[in-house]
Amino acid sequence: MKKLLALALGILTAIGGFVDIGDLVTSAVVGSRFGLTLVWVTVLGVVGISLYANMAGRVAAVSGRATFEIIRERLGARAGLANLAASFLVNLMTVTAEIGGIALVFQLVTGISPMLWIPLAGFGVWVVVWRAKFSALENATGLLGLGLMVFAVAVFLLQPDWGHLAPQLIPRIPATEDGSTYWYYAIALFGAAMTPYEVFFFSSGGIEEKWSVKSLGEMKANVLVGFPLGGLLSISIAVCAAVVLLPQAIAVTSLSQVVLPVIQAGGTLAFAFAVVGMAAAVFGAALESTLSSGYTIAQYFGWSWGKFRRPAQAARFHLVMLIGLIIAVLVLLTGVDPVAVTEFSVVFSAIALPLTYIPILIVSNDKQYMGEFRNGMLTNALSLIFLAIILVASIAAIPLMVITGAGQ
Amino acid sequence: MTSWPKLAVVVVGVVLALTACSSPADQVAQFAKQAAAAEQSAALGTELLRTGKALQPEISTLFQDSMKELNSSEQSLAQLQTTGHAAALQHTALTAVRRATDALLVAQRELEAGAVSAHATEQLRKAAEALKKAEAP
Repeated sequence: MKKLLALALGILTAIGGFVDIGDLVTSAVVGSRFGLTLVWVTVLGVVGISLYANMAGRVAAVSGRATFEIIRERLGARAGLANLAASFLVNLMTVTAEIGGIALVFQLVTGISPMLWIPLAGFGVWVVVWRAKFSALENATGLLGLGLMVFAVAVFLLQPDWGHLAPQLIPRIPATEDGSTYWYYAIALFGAAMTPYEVFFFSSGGIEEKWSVKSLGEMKANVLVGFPLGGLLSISIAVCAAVVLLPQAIAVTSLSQVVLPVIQAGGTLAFAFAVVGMAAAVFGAALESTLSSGYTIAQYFGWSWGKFRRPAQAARFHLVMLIGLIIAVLVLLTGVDPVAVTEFSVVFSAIALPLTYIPILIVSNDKQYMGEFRNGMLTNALSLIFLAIILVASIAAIPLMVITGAGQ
Repeated sequence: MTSWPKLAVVVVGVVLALTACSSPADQVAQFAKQAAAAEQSAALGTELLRTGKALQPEISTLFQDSMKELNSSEQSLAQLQTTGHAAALQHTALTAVRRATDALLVAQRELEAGAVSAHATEQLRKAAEALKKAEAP
């Protein structure tokens, strides 16, 4: 019974923790401009992240070592450093976007400028990363993040014309948009679903929680059940936007527009659930991406790391996170639009995807590390297909960003 | 054989050429569309507030975001170098954006005073409609 509860808690946490500011904004933008014609990308992204997170988790559970430790060992110091630089920069952009996201959610509730909330959000994330236990921060934010299920409820409360919605699921470029913009947002959505920090956090979290071969079943359930259900939340956000905002030609550019369909469906109560869900999801993602920045650097340089150690025993790990948070806060205080940062962060995530996923695929096939738990034929075949998609998305991202003026 | 730096220059050139393809009339339509979306979302928010579904801080934030979008659209429209038909379109769009900004300012003041009137909501809707018409080149 205790095991079953732990399993259920893990799955619920994975669902609630799946969505971050990138998913929130990109799903709503896409729903409000392209209807449901890009839902296939979310499905593709969820399959991809489930596949690779499962591999990264398996590597952590079997070898007892996290992704970046092995990347350096396997790729060598120089290639590993290039990988580290790119991953860390993308991660820092994600931290910045998430801190900005927290400030925007608080602005929704109070009407007070996000500039006031940005330093408080950064401070709050630092305090939690410094003080809270790993399991507590993961479970609390994941469970409260379930408040986002209100978007799924809202879809039904809005009573859409299902006959009109269903044909939108067929991938096609809407008449009001051009092909390059469609593909630009397809890449953004894919990048949002497969954000690299999720994998770093997942594999390092496995070490934090002392996974072993015995934990493989639980880890698999979290990934293969929790992530797809989390993906349904992203799709619900897109459906809400497609039902309420698209017919009124409201293309989403701010978080205050994202919640309008929920308010229309369920009034202030639904809004309260949405705000709690968004705050928890974005705060959780800020914690995860901040921890990921510490994990990657500390693991590469071989420093002592982890929440299972006291801060004094992992001082450089904590210092990296503190510096990352300070940079994120300072960037946001220049007045840059957090939503714009979010949109750029998901596209740059897409660009950096191969750097994260190629080493995981190599290591999970390594007999020396993985023994009998290395990838099977089917996993490898699927992984290679996804690697091809990841490479295409990565190469096409910058040209499309320039051509479309970042999706304008 | 083409070297990598040469290939990169060609790719960048093609990308920049494609970026420059958008005509002034298309750009006017694009900025008018952005402004229309902002005004329309303010109108929707006002209606939700008037029916008791939305709370004042959320709508206040929505108004601030819409105002930011309108200001950005106005600036972008004003900076466009246009001639002939495109200049006429630019003038129509700029006028519509400024009227939309005025309508939003009225609604913002009313919200700060406690409630948004039906008249202000109607003005927001009309301004959004005018912007949608200005979208069509």
